[in-house]
Amino acid sequence: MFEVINLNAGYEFRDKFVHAVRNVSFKVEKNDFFGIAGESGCGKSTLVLAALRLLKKPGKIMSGKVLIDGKDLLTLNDSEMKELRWKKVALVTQSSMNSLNPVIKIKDQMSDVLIKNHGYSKADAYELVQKNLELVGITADRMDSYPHQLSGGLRQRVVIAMALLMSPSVIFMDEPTTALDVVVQRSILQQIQELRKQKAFSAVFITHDISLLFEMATKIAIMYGGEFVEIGEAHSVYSNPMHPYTKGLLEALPSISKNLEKYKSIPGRPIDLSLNITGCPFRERCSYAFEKCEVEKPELKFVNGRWTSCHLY
Amino acid sequence: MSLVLKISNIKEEFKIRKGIKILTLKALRGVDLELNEQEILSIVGESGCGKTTLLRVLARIYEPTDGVIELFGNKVPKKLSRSEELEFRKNVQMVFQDPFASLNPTKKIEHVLKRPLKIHKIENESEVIESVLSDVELTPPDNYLTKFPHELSGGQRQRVIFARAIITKPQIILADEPTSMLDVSIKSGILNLMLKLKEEHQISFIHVTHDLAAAKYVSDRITVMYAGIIVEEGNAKDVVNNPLHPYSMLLKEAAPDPERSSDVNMLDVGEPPSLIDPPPGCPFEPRCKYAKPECKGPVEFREVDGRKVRCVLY
Repeated sequence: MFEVINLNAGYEFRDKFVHAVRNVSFKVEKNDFFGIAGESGCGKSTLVLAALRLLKKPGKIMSGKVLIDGKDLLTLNDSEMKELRWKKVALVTQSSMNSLNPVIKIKDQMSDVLIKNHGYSKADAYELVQKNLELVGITADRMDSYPHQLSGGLRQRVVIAMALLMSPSVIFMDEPTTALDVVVQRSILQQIQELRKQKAFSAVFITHDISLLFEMATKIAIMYGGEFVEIGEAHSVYSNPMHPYTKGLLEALPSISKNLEKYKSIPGRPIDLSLNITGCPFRERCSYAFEKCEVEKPELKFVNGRWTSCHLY
Repeated sequence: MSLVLKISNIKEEFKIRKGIKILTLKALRGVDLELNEQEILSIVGESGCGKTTLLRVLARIYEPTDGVIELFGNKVPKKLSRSEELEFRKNVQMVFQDPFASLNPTKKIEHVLKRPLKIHKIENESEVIESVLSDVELTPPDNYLTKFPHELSGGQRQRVIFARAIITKPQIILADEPTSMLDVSIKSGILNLMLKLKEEHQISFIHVTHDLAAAKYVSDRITVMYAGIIVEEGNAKDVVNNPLHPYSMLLKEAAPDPERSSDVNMLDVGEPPSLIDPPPGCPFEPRCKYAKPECKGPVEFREVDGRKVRCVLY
């Protein structure tokens, strides 16, 4: 139902081009919880912004297709795109705690999109807003609040309720819980799972907190250097990582239930995305690298029920 | 094992003006803590529980409203002379959360590391610098000395900050969430560095974190703080594997874990109490599913199975 095909995007400056999303393809089916994990600077946020056509200058989409129910988002004109937003796709941003307007009441900023873009009357809009706020556990008396009167967790819930207003089929969430405390984070995540059961939407969830992602997601994609290096079912990726980068990440992850004696970090630093990468982008940090990794770029291959891009397979 | 740091009944209050009223925020409400030689003690808790305030009191950034700090068995007076202050700073160093903000962006690494040597009049500058850089695994040192902070990655910067902290040969390092701003792939490198410094340089750490998994890995003992008081303290593995206080249980259930199988219900778990007028009894009582009438009264900090818990259940 939601598909990204060979998407290339990046940031164009006068003297260089940062190629942040390199040939990324993925598919989100109904009821999927698709998780994208990667280090900071691997291009995961750019991917989301590009897929939703929200990438602002100097960002630029070079090529690719983003299909939703067969329609290519990248070829639509602005009014067609406006029609689709909120109804088909919605976004919960990274700093949603700060993405609410501080001088407008919660109910007014939530109903704004309904009234302006989708022709609701004020009364109908308020009613829908109230229904959605109740879904995320916010009582009607909070509708007249201003954002500063709500705690961080409540504000995050408001933003999630806002994304749900028009019952979109796919919701993108870019680090929705990063600025929150562990306990609040847990309750928000549970809220999302509950809502998914009730409203049956698919989610694309982006975070750098990999233990969280493995716990929540049904499918997972590991991103490195602007590319997906491993895509598969979350549990099988966790129990049997194939790409050396995924292996490294899992070995670097202190876990609360395991009693591992030693965690190892991945040596080196992430690759500079403004460079023209030849060979495997991960080879300099990889302990399995051999000659072929220098010269030939590994393509995504379907091995053991999942996609991996590594010359070892 | 000998004690290097002991604090008793530390209280810290902040005055907040609200219109014409002046309110008192009780950030720390009587904290006792002991730190042994060559030990990593982690303090965990939600934001606002007072863990960073405690660290700042220990570092003498804030002056405590009440309580006693003892360093190597000697009471640290409220006012120190310039030379005593220097001696204190030499022994107690700090590492902050944000490696991007805690290095001067206009100075080279060499300058950053020379400052403490100049201040504490330590000789053999270049040798000392070289040895601390190799201690924090930034080798060869020459590659880093002439660099500016922006040329280094987050993990490398945090290593430089650790190098700056150990250059005065301190016995205690106070680390405030040293890994929370770092990527997963380098987080464990910094935790391993802390373990190495503890072993090789006999440094004790007070490590403030909200990451229970990291605390379990790196520390010898864990202290769980809630609303300005300590609710549980004990051996790190025990506290995480088998938390006794209901708040520690909540923290453990909330922590992300890929191997979780059971679904716990945490949709509505409430919020920490206001520290302006905290409840007299157990501060966790309003959120606690085991709450009893006696929780409203003062609750003692008791020894249970080799650890200490502030809860009426035990």
